[in-house]
Amino acid sequence: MWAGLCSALLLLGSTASAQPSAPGAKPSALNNGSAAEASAYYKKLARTLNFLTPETIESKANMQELLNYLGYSELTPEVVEFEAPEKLMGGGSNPASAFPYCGKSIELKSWKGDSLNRPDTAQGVTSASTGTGNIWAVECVGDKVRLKSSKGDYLHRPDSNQGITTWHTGPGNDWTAEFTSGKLMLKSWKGDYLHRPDSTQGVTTWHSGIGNQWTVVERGGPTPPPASAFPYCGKSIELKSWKGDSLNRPDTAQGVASASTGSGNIWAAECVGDKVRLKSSKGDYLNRPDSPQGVTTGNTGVGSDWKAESTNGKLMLKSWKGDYLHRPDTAQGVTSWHTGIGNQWTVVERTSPPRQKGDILVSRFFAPKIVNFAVAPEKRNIGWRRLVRINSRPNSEAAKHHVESAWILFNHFTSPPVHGPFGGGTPPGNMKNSSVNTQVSLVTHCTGTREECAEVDSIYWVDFGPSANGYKLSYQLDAFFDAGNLVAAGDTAGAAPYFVPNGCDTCHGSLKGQAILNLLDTDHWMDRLTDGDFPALARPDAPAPLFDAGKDTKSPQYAAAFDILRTVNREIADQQRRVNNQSFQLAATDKWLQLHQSSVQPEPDLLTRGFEFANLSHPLHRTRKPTPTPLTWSSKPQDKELLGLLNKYCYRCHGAIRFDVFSKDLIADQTSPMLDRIDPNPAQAKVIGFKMPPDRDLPAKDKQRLLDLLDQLDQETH
Amino acid sequence: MSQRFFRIHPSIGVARVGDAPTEFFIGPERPNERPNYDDAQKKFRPFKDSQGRIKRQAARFRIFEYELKGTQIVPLREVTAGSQGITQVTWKAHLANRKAAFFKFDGQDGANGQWKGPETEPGVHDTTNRLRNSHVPAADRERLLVIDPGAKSISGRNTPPVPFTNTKSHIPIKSLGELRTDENGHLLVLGGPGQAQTTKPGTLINNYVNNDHWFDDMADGPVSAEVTYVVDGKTQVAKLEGDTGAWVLVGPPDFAPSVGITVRLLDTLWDVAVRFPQEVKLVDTDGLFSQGLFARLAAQRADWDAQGNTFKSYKPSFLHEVYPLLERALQQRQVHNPEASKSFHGSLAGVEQDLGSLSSSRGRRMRRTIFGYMRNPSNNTGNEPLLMPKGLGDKYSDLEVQPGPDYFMTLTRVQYAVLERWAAGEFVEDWDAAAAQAIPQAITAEGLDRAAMENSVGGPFFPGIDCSWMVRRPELYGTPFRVKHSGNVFPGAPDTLSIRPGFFSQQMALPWQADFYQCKKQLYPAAHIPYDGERMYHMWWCAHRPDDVFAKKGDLAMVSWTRELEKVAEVEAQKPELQSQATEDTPARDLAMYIQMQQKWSSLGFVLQEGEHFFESQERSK
Repeated sequence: MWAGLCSALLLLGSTASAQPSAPGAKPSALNNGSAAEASAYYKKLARTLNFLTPETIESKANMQELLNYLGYSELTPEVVEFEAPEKLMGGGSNPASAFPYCGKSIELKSWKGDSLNRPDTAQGVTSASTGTGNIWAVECVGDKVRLKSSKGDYLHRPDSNQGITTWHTGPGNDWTAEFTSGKLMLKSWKGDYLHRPDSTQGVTTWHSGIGNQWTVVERGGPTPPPASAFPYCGKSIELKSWKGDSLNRPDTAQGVASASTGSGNIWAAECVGDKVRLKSSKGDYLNRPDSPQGVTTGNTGVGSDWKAESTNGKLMLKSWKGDYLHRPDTAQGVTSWHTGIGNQWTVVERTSPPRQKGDILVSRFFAPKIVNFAVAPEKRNIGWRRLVRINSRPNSEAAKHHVESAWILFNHFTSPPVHGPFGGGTPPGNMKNSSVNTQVSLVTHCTGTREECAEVDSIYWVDFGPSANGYKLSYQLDAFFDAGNLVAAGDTAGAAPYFVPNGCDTCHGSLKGQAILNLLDTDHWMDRLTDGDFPALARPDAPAPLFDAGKDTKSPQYAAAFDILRTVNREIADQQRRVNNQSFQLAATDKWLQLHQSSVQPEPDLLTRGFEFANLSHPLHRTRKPTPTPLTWSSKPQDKELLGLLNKYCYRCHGAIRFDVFSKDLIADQTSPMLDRIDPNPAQAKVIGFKMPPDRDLPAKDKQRLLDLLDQLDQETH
Repeated sequence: MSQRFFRIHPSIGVARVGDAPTEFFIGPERPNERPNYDDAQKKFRPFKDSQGRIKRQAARFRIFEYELKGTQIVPLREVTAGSQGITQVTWKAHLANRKAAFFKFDGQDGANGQWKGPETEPGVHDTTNRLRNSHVPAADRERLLVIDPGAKSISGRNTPPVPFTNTKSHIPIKSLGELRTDENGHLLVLGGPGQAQTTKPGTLINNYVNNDHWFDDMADGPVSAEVTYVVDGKTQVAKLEGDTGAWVLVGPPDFAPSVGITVRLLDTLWDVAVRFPQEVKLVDTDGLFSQGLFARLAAQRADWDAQGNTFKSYKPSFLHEVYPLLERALQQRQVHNPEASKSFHGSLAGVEQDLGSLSSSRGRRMRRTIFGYMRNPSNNTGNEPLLMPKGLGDKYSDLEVQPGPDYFMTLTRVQYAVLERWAAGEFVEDWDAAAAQAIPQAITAEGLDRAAMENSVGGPFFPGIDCSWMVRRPELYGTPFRVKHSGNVFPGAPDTLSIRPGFFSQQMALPWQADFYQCKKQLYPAAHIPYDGERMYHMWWCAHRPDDVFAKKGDLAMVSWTRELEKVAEVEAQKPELQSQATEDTPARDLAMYIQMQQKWSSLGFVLQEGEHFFESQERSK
């Protein structure tokens, strides 16, 4: 009878393919829906929200389509997932063009006076005062910078604890350029920086210190890259042909066409060395294949590199085969050819509406909710999430269909002791530690008549598979939230399928249309650093739980990052209030907002975080001794101990599902079923999902204390 | 002995339709026995024939002789022709189907003896449209709308079938079933093949319960017998009818024979017998109620507080009165997936020892918790969707009205009062694990009555599965569980009704498959109901018509019981002929599902049990 659903959703990965596929995870009895239900749901979603069509949504939907739907066709999934939060929030992506040395040759002078140097060895870097090895050619790819050495390889951060070398390919070649006090800092994909230590010679990587700061000296390079003259690097452009239509990426698996309108007309220009690449709306590149004639799309490679030439104010794109991107004199179509007016294209810079402050909010944080607790603490992967909240643009299809915003949750894991949760980069193929599964809540705000709004769900769920597989629609995420029984049954991965929409609804307040967003409880994340569940996070070099805030809670950086979380939680409270202004979830969010109205400091005192809430209409409430006011956690040692145990073992789910452990009154209602579930008899233990907590076996001592304290509370209150 | 006393048992027999023309099984005859269950093999026998057609469930009737013991007449033995001085037994049964001529079903309309017609909007009744097929004039209704093949008689052993053939050629129903006798001369009543047809081709089923021009072969009626015996050389004839006769109901198949229904027909008629002692007579001399479980009925009647709807001092048996109810509640897990809850009712597993023990602190705590969840049938306001049973009730409405009393299902008042006493610690500590699951070997008079009614649906009635709310009318019963063979219900009311063949089935959905589709689990609340809590599913009669099933043994996840029909309906619903007839109330998908259920009901699976596993039968579907 006690339906204590305890599903903290833990992500492992998701099954995704061109067509959302059948479950890959172990089947379970967790009542999380089915592939058939998910399929029907997506079709209904398409019909209701006009997001693609019921016929196409399952095969066509990906994150790019979603961004287009929201009115942000200038954004790519990679930018949304990987771009530095302050840049994504600040209005427009920060591709190569933002770095002032793209396409140029530079020298990087260290604080010791020498320069970053590529010695005349097979591989490696050092520091030296002079020499051709001091000259580096800057290539800008997406929001990353690559430094090409005089020997043709790149400055490279290998996948090791520390160090630097050179290499030809890989994510280690990608650096994020940051400036401080006029100095350049190059942040590696591992999260540390290019560093000149206080030694006679040499370079390495390190997290902090003056050694991270470099002075950039622009140098006449050996071959000034012509691409630097291409004025559209990093911009979105449309190429208009002499026939009046535009170069178009149709909605097919591969290929190009010409068309008058459509999101396929938008191309992102990327400048790499002296070459230009045009990235399509579907994420692939304009490509000249190794054939006598023709163009298509593909991933990177020589066919994707074009040389920009200018004639009569028109752009001509010369392929690696020597011919040009060509619009023939036909009704439609694009090919390659050597001469003719068809080679000439008019470039129209496509500027999206200016992004207002708050249109996009980004926050990255430690996510204990998605961790597999069935694994021993020292081996446990650590979960991280990047939340991107994007408001629908006015007049977008989303806005026209009551979708106010999209809440995109990218899910990442790190394996201790390695840190660096938010990796990635562009182009595709360089997706190190990208999101294993991405959950999206399309939050609606219907302002129509009651009849119009009756059929509009409060949240529509969309799930995308691994970013590295192209952000394709998925029926499910495979996760561990409450799948501890699978681990107990010998499945060490312990993942169960959580299907859209049921797997989402059950953790978000209600089935079928009345779901709510869940509070981002920063205080709880902080609690988890010291309770023994995440020893890797207790290390000094571990990332901060509020990743963008850092660890210095008094720093401006911390305040700024926390302010975003505060804004996000305010919006969450608004949404919760809209759907159900009597819910305990709203009471909990309001309590957090009250505690953090002006303070950014973590609130470690659990009792202070307790809130007053009673569910007077719950059947179990009626079995209790009446009290004039709702029970609240007191300073009694038993209360403090019980709340501590509940916070550690139960809050993962019961901060959102059915009840919140920070309301003593709700716990008092539930003492009887909790006692049964924490200590089930053999018959009850066979009922999958009955045993609590559902994600792990409690240590014997903690289990007994929980039982004793709950029994005491039961007797006091009944 | 100049006079011998006989009664037919069971008092109410339950037959079930099936489309297998020859193969059938006999319904449960012992308490705790489940339909078509082989207790020796500990498994269910096949429910379908070799061609995938569903076997009918036959209702078997026997004659028991009673003897005078002291001041009471108590069951003595079962008798058959050719023994114990019995020279002849002639059975008679009369099945009829009056559905098409009855009032339209609309919840509790008619419950006061006056049918106002369907409520078209809150408080507004369509008084000109009270009747099904209202276009048929009164003078022609009996002739044109009632299927009544008349009473049929049978005697002897292994007598060939005597069919209830429909003789009205304008009604496209072949038969309401047949009578047979078995090798001992017991009566077997079999229902029809589950057929439903329309007299107006192209008329779609578009309502869950009222569909003009449609007919089906559900039926019910009295069962009587003439027992000829010789006493002192003189031939005597005992006519068994009314208080000594029986009644047979023909219902849809029980697709979850392994799962008990929370409120059984036994519970409902027991409740009537306890709460209406003036109407339902129980004479002190009737020894059937002085032994076994039935003795508790007499004790409850004596102790019942009609004002408070409670018992004054009665102590229920944990083993016989409380535990079976809790076990049935636990079993609902096997046929219903609430979707928001993963382990509902799991608390009831393996706790019998504690629940039945006064000294167990755990038992005390759990009794408090379980009873705390129960919806009080005397105070069922409609505002407490979280209470149990999590089902919809007799006054459910899909109009845009706020839920009122009896919108949700309740236990019977007597069931609730029994739990109340148990929760208060006033019960008999008689837990016996072996006895709880035992199926007695002996066929007894009481056992026959109980077994049939234990496996029949006793509520909620909207309209129901085997019968509807008229079964609660106390004036129907001369003595507990015995339906009168004549007389009136609602005497003196504007719409007084004769007790006659077809009395119970007339109130049911027409055709039966319509409601068999629609009585699936239902999300609460409907869009118009303001509700601040979580949305949740409520069930109807999933212990007979499953909502969800484990598709095969060992499956962990449940799937919709009607999933295969739904797939076809999804496609069929796109057809212009359905799209053009769809309405806001009845979308094309519902029209398609009505068709699927009417045509493919026998392809659906049965929920069986093997050990701890409950799963859908893998029998071939036609």
